[in-house]
Amino acid sequence: MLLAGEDLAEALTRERSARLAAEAACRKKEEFIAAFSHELGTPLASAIVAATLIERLSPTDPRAVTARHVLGRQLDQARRLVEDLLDLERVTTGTLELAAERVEVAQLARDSVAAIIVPTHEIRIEASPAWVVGDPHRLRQIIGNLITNAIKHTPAGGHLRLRVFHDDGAVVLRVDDTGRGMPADLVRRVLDALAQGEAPGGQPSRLGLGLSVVRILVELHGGRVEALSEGLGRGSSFIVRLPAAPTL
Amino acid sequence: MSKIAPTPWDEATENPAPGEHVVQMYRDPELLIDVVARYCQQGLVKGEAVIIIATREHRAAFARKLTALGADVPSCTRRGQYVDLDAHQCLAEFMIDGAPDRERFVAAVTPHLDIARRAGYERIRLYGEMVEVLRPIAFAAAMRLEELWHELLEREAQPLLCAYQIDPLDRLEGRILVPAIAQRHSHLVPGDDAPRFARAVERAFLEVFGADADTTVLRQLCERYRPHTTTMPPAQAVLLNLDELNRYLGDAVRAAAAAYYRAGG
Repeated sequence: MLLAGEDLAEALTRERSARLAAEAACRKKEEFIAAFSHELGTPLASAIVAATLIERLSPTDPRAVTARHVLGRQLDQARRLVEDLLDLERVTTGTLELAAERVEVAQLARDSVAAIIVPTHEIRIEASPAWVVGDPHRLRQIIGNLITNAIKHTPAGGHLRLRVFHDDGAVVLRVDDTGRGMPADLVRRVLDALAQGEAPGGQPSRLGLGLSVVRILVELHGGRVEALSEGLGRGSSFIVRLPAAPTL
Repeated sequence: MSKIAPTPWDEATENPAPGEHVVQMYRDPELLIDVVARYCQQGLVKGEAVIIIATREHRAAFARKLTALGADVPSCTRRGQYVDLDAHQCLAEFMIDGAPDRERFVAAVTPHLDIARRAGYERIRLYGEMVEVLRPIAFAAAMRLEELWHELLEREAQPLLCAYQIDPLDRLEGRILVPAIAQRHSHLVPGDDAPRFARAVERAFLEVFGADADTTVLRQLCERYRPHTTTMPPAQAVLLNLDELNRYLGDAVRAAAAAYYRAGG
C-alpha cells in the first residue's frame, strides 16, 4: 500500500517517536544496570577485604572480630539488594502477592530493628501500639529498607529515630536520620528506582532500589510514602502512612 | 607553584631529627625546589651545614630559591656551610657494574661530612637525588643506594632528605615503587599536597566500598592491618595495606583517588 504525502510524514513521525522512546528506555536500562552493578559491587568489595583480614589475622585478634561483623553486614546488604531487585521484577510481572493479616506495627518495628546489628549508630524507637492489615514479611522489609537506607547515608556516630503512631485514621511509620540529607531535586526522585544522589568521580552513589521497593510495597498495602529533607547535611525523613486496621 | 598550606608533614621535611631518612614524593618540579630550599634554609638558619647532591639544574634552582628566601648562598658556600655537589659526578665515584659499591660510596660521601665538621658544623643536613637519577634506569641500584645511605645515617646521626618524582596514586608507581621506597626510609611524604591527598583517598574509599558506616570501620582496619616502621600519612598506609590485602581493590581505590586528586581532592 502506498502512503500519501501527509500519511507518510505522520508515519515517519510516529516511527521516529517510537525509536526515540525505545532508545530512551534502552539508555535507562543501561543506566540502571550500571548503577545496580556499582551498588552491588560496594558491599562485595567490603566483604572481600573483610574476608581477607579474617583469613590473615588470628581468630582472637579484635580486628578479625570486627572484620567478621563487617563481613556479615556487607553480605546481608548484598543479599538485600538482590532481593529488592527480584521484588521489583515480581511487581513488574504481577507475581508479588501479599499474605495479609492483622499486624501490630510497633512490635514489628522493634523486632525489625533488633535484627539489624549496628554498633556505629544509635537507633531510638518511639512506638505506640498500632494495628494494620498487611503482610508481616513485607512490612518488616519496609522497615528494614528504611533503616538500612538511613544507616547507609548517616555517618558513623549519627542518630536514627523510628516512630510509630496514629494520625488521622492512618498508622504512621516515620524514620528520621541525622545523615547527609538530600538536595530538593533528589527528594522528589529518591523513591524511584533510578534515583541517584551525589556521584563522586561520575559513579552512581545512591540507587533508590530499596526505597523504590518501599514505595511499591507501601502502595500495595494501600498506603503512601513521602521523603523529606531540608537539604544536604541536614538529615532525611521518610514517612509511611498505612490505613489503620478496623477496630475489632 | 608552592605548597598550598603548611601541614604536619612539612615538619618532617623542614626539621628532621638526626639520623632520620625522609623521602618526599612529588609531581610538580617546582614543589621539589620549594621543599628542598626550605629544608636547606631551616638548616642554615639553625647554624647547621647543608650538603646538597643534585643535578646541575636543581643545584642552580635551589640556590636561586634559597636566595629568594633570604639566604646569602655565596657567603654560606665560602665558609663551608653550604656545599652543593653534582649527582652524576658523585655516582661515577662509587658505581661499579651498574651497582653502588659500599666502600667507594662511603669514601665519596664521608669526606664532605668531615670537611663540614672541621669548619665547625656538628649538625649537617643532607639532600641527595642520586637515587632519583638512578631510579628510572636502575631501580634496584637506587634501592641499594638507599640502603647504603641508611647505614651511613646510622653511623653519622645526620638527617637526609631524598625525593622521587613519582605519583603514589599511579597504578604501577604506587603499587610497586612506593612500597620499596617506603621500606627504606624513616618518613614518607607522599604528595605535593597532603590534605588533598588524604581527601582524595577518603573519597575514593567511599566510592569503591560504598558510602556506608562500615567503610569507615574497614578503612581503619586497613590502616592498622600491618603497622609500618616508616612514618607516613594514614591515607598512604591504607593504600599500601590495601594493596597487600587485595591488589585489584587497591588499584580501584588508587584510580578513583587519582581522579579526585586531579579534581582538587
